[in-house]
Amino acid sequence: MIIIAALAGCDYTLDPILQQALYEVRHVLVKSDGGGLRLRDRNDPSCKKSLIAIFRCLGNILQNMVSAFESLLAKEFLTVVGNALVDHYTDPRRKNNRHHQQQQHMKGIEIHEGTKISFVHALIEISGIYNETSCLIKPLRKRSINQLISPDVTLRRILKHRVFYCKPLIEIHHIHGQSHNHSVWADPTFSSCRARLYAVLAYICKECSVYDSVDDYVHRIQGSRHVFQYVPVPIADWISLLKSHSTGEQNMPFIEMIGFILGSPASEQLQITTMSIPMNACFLLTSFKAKLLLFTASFISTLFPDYRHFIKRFHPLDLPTSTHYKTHFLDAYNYLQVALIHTKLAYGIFALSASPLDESLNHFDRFLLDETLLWSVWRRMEEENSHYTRNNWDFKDLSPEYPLKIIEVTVDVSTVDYFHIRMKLCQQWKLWFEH
Amino acid sequence: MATGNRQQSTSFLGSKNDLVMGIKGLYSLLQSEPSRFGKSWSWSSRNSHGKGLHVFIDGPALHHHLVSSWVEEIRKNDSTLCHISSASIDNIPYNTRSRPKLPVDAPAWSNELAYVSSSPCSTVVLYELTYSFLHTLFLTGIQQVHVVWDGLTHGSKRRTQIQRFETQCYQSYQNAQHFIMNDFCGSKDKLPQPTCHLWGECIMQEAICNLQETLENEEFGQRDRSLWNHFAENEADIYLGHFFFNQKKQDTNYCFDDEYIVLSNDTDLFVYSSIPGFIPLSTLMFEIASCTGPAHMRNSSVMEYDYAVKGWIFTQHQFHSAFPYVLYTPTRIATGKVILTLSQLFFS
Repeated sequence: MIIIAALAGCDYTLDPILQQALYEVRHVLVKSDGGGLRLRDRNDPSCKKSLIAIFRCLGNILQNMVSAFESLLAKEFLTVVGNALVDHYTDPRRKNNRHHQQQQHMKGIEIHEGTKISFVHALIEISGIYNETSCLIKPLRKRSINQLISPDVTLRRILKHRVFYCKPLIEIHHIHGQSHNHSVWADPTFSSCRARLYAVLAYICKECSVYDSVDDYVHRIQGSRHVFQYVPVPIADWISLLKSHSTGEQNMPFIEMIGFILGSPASEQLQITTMSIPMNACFLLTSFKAKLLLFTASFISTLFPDYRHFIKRFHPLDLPTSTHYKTHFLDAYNYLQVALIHTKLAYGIFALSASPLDESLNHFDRFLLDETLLWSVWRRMEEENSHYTRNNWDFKDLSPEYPLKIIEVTVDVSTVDYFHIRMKLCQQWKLWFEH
Repeated sequence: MATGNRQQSTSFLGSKNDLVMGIKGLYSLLQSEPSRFGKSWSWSSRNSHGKGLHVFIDGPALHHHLVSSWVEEIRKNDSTLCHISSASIDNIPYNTRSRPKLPVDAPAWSNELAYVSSSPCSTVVLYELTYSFLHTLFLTGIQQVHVVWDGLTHGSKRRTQIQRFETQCYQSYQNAQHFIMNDFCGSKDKLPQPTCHLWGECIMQEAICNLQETLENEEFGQRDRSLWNHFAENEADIYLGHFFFNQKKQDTNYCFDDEYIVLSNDTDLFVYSSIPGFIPLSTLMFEIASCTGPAHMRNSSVMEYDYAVKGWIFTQHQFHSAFPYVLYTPTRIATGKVILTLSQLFFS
């Protein structure tokens, strides 16, 4: 069946030479008398007709060679059958190939020795793909948070194939004469964030020396044309920056990593200067979803400050018909989606970098072991918002974009009520999204 | 015994626009002579007799299937995307009310954002569809459902992926234009196109986890039923090929046709001789009939109706019968003592 798949065509595309060899052999089989297609079908065969012709030709070969396969292994089997197939249907002496002879003569089709070798190689390669050793990951009944992230295909694709697909969004690239020929994916902040993410990923996975760029595959509108292209995202500079600030430890400190990823594109300092309260607070929450939400919200709030306003305006049963609002709704929605994807990528990378202190610990809860960070965030919030804490702590009036400085604090962690801190931050999260 | 006094069947979960994957032309060939390569298959709550049936579902294929089914439903009912609401979702056959938990667990977002159809098949709709589809499968008496998700594909699949990606981009762009212009009704080219959501697979996995929890808490003797998410290292079909090969090796007494069913649209499954066959998702049809049998049959809400699922299964056995030489498997290796199939040779 692998020979059939290779000849008929499948989801896999090989090198041009091998692909050409497959195409030429298919062409010969389809045109041959052995394929048994009508003359008009031979000239312009559909996928189904081609497949039928291949079935017939291969059946004919195998029928006559059954005894020859008894001592063959898989690779040898493919070689023997591949060679036999080509030899049989390109042999001009064969009586049943009169038509093929004519066709060859007319169109100059000829299977060279090199093509035959390429064809056999193609068969072996396709066989290898179909029988790729698959690690049977244990089925998961209930996914925990780290299980949500660890089989992250996107991260694995970046590492293995160096490509990131900027998946399609329901978005308008061109609105009312105003040219928006780029997607939300191409927003400079997101692009910069992705470059940093790729750099951290390469740095963590010790792949820095292996590649210095990752390709974003993007869709954009140029005039009235849809353009698809690979956009190389160079990461060498970011990696150098990471290396220069490396402390020599095996894992990059979490706080440095988050600062690096979220840092301003203009700033090339590997240090945290300002971060919004929700951005910090997300590390203190025990619920992954709550963290993700806060992280994202804070991330996009700087990009699209009015997004909550636009989203709130759209009730499902009371949709405004205004094009203006709809456009802004789509924008806001897409910023959210794309920010979420980046957040998911970031967390996937954090999970990779987490040191295996205790396997039973959740990857994300491990970050909370950094109690210095936890305390410093809390302390700063208390200091700068003392009037709130004095009045029964109400986050309601706290601006989500409130700048916060991380300060180094030495503290006796045994005296800190982390549970209380987390509960309060959860309240903040709820309030933040209810308004 | 129990005869139906009210019968309802639905082809809602049978879309003609499903994405067909795998060997080119093979699905078309199978469809052209269905009785040569396959047979009808059905399973119902009445006839299951406690027999265990394991159903394996190709996750990405189910994703495409549900999205295209939903879009087809919108087209059929002439409803506009702009007015997809909770009311529309109530029309999903055998719907089970549940609370979706989006990857972002914000009630405000899930209720307001997701229902508003910036996407033809929003995450909430997809959640409900997944939940309903799988729940109905369990109601038909199926005991175990395994949903297999793709891992990292081989590098040589990049061209195919890009082709699909570009198609999705065109469709998304078209949908966005129509959303803004509010003109989904009317000419055919303005009808919504099936577009997958960025978080589509995540939300389906969420629905599976939640249904699993529901099954564990069921009061109607459903505790023996289970639902699993499988995450393959490579592609789902490779995973299934190896899985069935290992199962077969472990227990040669397995009767695959009776105990295992694979739901997929991927004809690549025929490459793996260990896989018994597959049922294309587009052929699935659910039937429901109310019971008029003995009272004890109606004691529980689950047994009040007979649920059945029908489909068309293309089997390896029939396919091999149709092309005996093409799919020839040498029976011996060099020693002449050990019997190995061709697939075993490949896998070795």
